[in-house]
Amino acid sequence: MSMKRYIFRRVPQLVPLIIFAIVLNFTLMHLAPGSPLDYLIGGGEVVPQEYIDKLNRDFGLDKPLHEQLIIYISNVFRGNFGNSYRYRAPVIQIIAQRIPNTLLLMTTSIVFAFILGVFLGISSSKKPYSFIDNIASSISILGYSIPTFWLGMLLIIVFAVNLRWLPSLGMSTMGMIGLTGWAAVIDTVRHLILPTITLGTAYLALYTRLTRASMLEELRKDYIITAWGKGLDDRTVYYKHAFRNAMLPIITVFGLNLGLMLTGATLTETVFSWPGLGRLVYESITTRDYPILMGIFIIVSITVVLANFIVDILYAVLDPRVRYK
Amino acid sequence: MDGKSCNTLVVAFALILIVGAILPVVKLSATLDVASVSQEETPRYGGTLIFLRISDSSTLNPLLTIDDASFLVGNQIHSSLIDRGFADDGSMIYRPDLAERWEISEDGLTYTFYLRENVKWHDGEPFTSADVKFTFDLYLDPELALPQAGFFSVIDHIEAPDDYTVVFYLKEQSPILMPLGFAFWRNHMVIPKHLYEGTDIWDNPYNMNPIGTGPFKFVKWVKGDYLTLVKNEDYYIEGLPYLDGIIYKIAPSSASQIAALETGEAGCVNIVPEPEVRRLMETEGIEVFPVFKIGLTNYLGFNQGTSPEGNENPILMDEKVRHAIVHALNRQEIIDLALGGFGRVQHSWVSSELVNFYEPNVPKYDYDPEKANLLLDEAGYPRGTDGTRFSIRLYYTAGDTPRERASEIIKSQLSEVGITVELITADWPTLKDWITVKYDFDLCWFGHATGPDPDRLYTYYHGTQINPGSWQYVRYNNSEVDALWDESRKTVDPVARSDLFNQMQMIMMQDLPIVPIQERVLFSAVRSEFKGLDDTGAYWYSNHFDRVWWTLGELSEEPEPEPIDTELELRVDKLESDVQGISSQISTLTSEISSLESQLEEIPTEYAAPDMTMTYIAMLMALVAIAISIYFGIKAK
Repeated sequence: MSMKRYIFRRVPQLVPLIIFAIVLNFTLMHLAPGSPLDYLIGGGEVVPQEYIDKLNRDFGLDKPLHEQLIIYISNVFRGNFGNSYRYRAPVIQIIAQRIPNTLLLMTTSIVFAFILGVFLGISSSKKPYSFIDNIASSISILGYSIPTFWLGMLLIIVFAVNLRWLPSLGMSTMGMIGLTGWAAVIDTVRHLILPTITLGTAYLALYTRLTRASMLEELRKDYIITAWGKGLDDRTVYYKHAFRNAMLPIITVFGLNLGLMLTGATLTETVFSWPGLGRLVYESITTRDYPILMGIFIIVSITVVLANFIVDILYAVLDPRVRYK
Repeated sequence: MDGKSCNTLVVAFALILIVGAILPVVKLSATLDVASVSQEETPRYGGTLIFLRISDSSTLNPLLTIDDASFLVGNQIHSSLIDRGFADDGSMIYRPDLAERWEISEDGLTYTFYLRENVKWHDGEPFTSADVKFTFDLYLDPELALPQAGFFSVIDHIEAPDDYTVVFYLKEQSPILMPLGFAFWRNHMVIPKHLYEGTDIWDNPYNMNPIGTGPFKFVKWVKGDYLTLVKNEDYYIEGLPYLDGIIYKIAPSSASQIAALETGEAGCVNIVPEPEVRRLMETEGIEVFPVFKIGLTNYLGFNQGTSPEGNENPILMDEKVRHAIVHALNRQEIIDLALGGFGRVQHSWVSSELVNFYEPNVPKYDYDPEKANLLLDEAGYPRGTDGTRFSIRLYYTAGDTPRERASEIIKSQLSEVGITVELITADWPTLKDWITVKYDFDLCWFGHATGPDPDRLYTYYHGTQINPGSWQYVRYNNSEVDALWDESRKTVDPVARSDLFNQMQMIMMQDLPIVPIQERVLFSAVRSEFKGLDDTGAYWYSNHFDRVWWTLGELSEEPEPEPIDTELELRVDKLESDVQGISSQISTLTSEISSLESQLEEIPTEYAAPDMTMTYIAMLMALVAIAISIYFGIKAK
């Protein structure tokens, strides 16, 4: 069947999927012990019961769970994601503020990891088990095993505290009056370097190994021997022929990573005090800020579903053999 | 990119990492004229303090919340009637803030405050007694259900006879209205009547954009990221504040907070985890000081009570068993090995810092495993064939490393006397549910702070407070103690009141519903370029930072600000602490100003995030360029 019909068939399937995700998240969240009030009512206070009752009413927590769920879903379909319990500000506003920051970090990291990883992988596949290959493989395994927060702290100690080359936290220099234009870009880039290396290392490892494995498999094939026989140069054989075909599994993984774009940077964001969505998730969990959590879950569900969908389409574009029934 | 250059790159990166990790701090030549700074006593003007903290404020209207993170900021924007301070000998005193002086009538039923006359709100409107009456009337309004209303329930009504006088009429005498009401460590601040009258206080937009009378004005708040304040040029004390502004930045990881302090990117860190304190004390350019005098206690609670909600532990209900457990604990060892080594062993539920209230003759339970064994045998829990008597569960909050370590030590100490300890952890809301609602625990780590007056712990130990969800999770129910406590709330004579608390302590430390472990000391860390923070106390007290100054600022022609007037202050407590030994230790440590390049480049008056448009455009262009080059690189000819 054609692409268009495939799309038309798939899209309606996405909606029930997302609704299911919402219901599941909502239920699980409310089942966790503790309530949003625990954070707002600190330690050892004499808090009048009227205050507690008022908070419960404001947050709608005095209603039974299924009623809360229905109210929530009907609000969402009208575009109202509610107000944060902690800040009493609209959820959409708070989330929208953070999304660009996380996207900036994740995009940079994944692109960095992708490009470098692919190059390393292809280089390794040219001479398997050679010195270069071993180095690249060792780094891959190391990069994959190193805990993100440990690597982040190490980079901060080396490059920020000891060498003073790069800033240690945040997305921009504190105390600077609003920079514009290229000065802002440079300031942001300086703050972006260490978090990108931290976050990108694990993905780098992934892409290197993946590319290498995929390439090795392609290079075994007959048409490659033909290409060598034709006397084609390295660049043509490796990139224009082998890599083009080896790309498919890499694209799949890339697509999966896209789905993680919004929340995959939690640890890095915490270590570098990067004002992103991952950190917002963590904070909202510990303070039981349900509206923000739900808002994020919805957005992430949509993102993941969309990303997978796009990858499916891309497959059909890249591989003429794939046709959907 | 071919293999060889790739290889070299990788090796180079690894080398940099290794070298950088073992390189000592690189000190580029300090071009600062040290003489002009190190002995400087005249405050200078300028500078922005960057204050790091872990959690964000929830609101900037001080009436609507009780979370400390909100008060931290609120105390710079708003003022209260009186502040707390400390005299030279360490005793606590009240300082005038919006009220220049005050009187309490003979019968203790009338409190009169005489207000300053030249105070303006940040929007230019004059401050009068009407604002004070309006604010405190809100506390008295039962329909509003303000969280701190309980502190003022003893007030009957309020009058403002003229623009600069406010009179509070009480229903009955209250010895705690001053220390725990007007001068509570969070300060009860005044909000502007002309902006709040007739509005719903919970939804008023000025909650997020506050107008106050304090030394700093609100500029901007990006939730979860940073909050900016700027100097109030019309502050009612001439010549203050010294600083140009304050930026509160959220840095959720303590380790990165300390790193930022060391590089100079931050000026002040709210709380330093105890294990880091010693290292920081020895770091140049950083000063560490204790923010004590609040009677903060680390303790274990026993599940030793009973209530209709059930879940009792009959073993722990036996007093002998509880005594035995405390005898089996070497609390000094726990403090030294796990809790940072600072702070003394606490013997009573009232910390010894509260000299006026602490009873030094309470029954003490020294480390004595033999006695513990004896008591346990007597109580009827002999060792079994495997050497153990019974098993109990010890709960602590997940992620709290010091308490986790301390729990491990407790486990091994108690196993010496045959008690098996199971360690259980969960995040705070979950733990709170298990312990205060379901009473499903045996021993649990907790902390509480008395502030200047032990009455604050009423909710922890008074019999009437036993309720699921309350802090009386130990379910201690002793009618004698209850009666004494109720009487103390009516006793105005400080000596008599103190005696009542002494009696309470003698009884409670015999009953032993809790094991006090440590009189905890909290430390804040500040870069040495900022002076005056140790006087305000960077954490719990949060008094105005109007006298904080930056050593790299500029001297000014302005007249010197009025000094803090100690004659008007009321002496309430004499709080002594031998943590003063630690503070003199700290003050003998010298710290030089660290290298200048770690300083902020300018003295800005306002922080605004950089304009991101160019960055996003650059990002997009880069992505497009990459995509295009990949495409052309792979495209077959």
